[in-house]
Amino acid sequence: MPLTAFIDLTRSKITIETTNPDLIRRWLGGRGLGASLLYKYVHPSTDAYSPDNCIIFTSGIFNGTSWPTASRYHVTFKSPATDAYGYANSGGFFGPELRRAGFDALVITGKAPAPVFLRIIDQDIQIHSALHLWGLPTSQTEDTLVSEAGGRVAAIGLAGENLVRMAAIINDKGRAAARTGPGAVMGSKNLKAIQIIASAKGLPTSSEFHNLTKQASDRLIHSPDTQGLMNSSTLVLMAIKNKIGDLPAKNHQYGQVPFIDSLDDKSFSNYWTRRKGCAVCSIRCSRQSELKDGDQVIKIEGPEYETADSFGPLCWNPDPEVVIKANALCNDYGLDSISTGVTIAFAMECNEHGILNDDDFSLEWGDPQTILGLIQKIAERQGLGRLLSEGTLRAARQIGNGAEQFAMQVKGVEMPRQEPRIAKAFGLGHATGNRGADHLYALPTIDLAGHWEAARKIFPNETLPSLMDIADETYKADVVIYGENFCAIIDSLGLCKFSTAETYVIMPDDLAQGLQALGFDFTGEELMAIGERIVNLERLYNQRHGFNKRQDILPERFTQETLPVFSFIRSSANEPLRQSKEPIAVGLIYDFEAMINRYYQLRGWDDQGLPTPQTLARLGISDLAVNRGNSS
Amino acid sequence: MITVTVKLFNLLAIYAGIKTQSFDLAEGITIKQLLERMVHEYPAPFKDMIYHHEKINPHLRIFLNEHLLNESELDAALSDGDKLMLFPAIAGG
Repeated sequence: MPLTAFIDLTRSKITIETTNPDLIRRWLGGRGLGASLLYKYVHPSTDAYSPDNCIIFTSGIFNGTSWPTASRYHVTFKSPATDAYGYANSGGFFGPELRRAGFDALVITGKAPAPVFLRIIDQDIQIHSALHLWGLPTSQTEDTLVSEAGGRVAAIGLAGENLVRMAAIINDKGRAAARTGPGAVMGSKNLKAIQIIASAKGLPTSSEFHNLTKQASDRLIHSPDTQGLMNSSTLVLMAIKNKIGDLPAKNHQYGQVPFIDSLDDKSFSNYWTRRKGCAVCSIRCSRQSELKDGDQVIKIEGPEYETADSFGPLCWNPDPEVVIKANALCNDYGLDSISTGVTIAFAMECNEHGILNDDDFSLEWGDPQTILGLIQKIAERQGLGRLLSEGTLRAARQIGNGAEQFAMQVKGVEMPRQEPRIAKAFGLGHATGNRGADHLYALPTIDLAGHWEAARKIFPNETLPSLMDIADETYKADVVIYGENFCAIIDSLGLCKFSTAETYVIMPDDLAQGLQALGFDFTGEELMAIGERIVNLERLYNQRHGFNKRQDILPERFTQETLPVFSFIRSSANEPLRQSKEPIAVGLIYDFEAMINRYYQLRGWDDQGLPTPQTLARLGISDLAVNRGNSS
Repeated sequence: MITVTVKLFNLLAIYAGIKTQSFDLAEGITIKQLLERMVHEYPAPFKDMIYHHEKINPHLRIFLNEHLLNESELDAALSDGDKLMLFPAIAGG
């Protein structure tokens, strides 16, 4: 039976229990289980950096099996970015290792008196001194621990040690559980790393499960929706997003760049040395990149689309080598590359408007020294980095003079790399996400990617074709809700969204079949109900912190400033792109209020964005209702 | 003569300047030939969304009567009353 370990770093006390099967029935595992444990153990009065905060590592039911893309683990905690709910999720090989060691969950609380790391050899959990690791980059930390005992490692870098609010956890040398500040929570507990060495090579499964796995894997390999990821990585998005105006540039002043040829997948492919994939993945979208830098060779896994936009177009930087260097720095310092890039772009726009300057760096758009130098300063919390390490919302409040209008964040979390005025479902999803701005919370691609056949099966006839028009705001709430519920399942089972919500290749009924073959009697419909339950629990967690509709907002830029969309054409293959003189379209969210009100209505939430008693009863979680007189 | 309705979505509709258009076509015309005609009728950027390096753009999703087509099916002849839908395929991040 899978286990839950409770690890109190203050008292060096470890308790291991069999995970209550009722919890799995109710929350599945992974994200759902993590949210339920956080709800139980971390209360509103607890500060994110308090020893009483928990950082909860969870695996999903599919982790450790051969189910395609079952590589991802989940980390749940009270977030130093949102001051409420927070989580991060990462691929690689750490998640399956956690599961094969026997664990559903590691619930870590307290604060070690001096730096430590956890070494977990199957069910033997040891707390060791990390004095020799403190201050080391994540890659060196991993190398050191793996050379001592093998296995897989998730570690923090300098940023986490210094309590930078956008600090990430890095595993497998370049996979990041990055969003909402998990690295800082680990740092606050003096926890440098977790090393897991599992002796089991894989979890025992039936031939029926093996057959289902093979079928799912074959469908992924042959789907037209995975070919771009397989052939060109997530960077396949750079050029096409630039065409449509969905490539945020200059801190979202634009949605396109004229220098896309230097930042598309073809340009980055000059640095690729091999194709990579996470555990049990048949898509293998990742690439190893190498860049010679003086006497050094910089090696990274990536960059991925989100990082490439953050340090490229968003900072108005046309140089792919700066993006690769920035990615490498973020990995080694343990920084969320999305939040870091967005924060630097914010500083650049503040500088453009004359409300921020710096002695060390120009803060000019595209300046490599500013980009690379500020990453280091943020991790070190030195110079301007001390202010920026707080993230855009808190930095803007300190800067004043209207700086908040340049902070591209929701709930204290920097926005990922979609343009809400073009990809409007993503815009709504950024606003409603319970961990703040988040492209992976709803991943509403159904209209943007033209998944007509999936839309036909999922949504009522009367919503089509309007629902598939990315500019039509009428049914974006419907798209976001389906995506949020689906993504909650995916995160709870330890899966990657590239096999599921992004591509619509593997659907809830397929997941249910796989679970049935493992002995879990779920239907696809029941899974979606669990997904809805998880989203509501997360909303309740934030409600306990006084959150309501006031936090479900987007920066004013997206509802007040029109975004010009230009066409770019070249007269022949070797000619440079020419931008049209006039915009061919404009993007804007015209009626955000209508979008979010429909979202609340369909969710069964009240006009303040809070679950009604009837909704909680329908989902079987009335016992978790928040007393409204005591919700702050 | 046959009549075929084409519905364009998102960037394709912006480039073409129209969301839905009916085409009166000679019998036997294939989907590929209709795409070529549209490339000539619509403004230049439209072509970039249909072709990539002189092949059908991998970011294009084409549905015939709501059935997703692969490239090998584009040589099929259209029939009277057929409905084509064209989407640019872009995903999240």
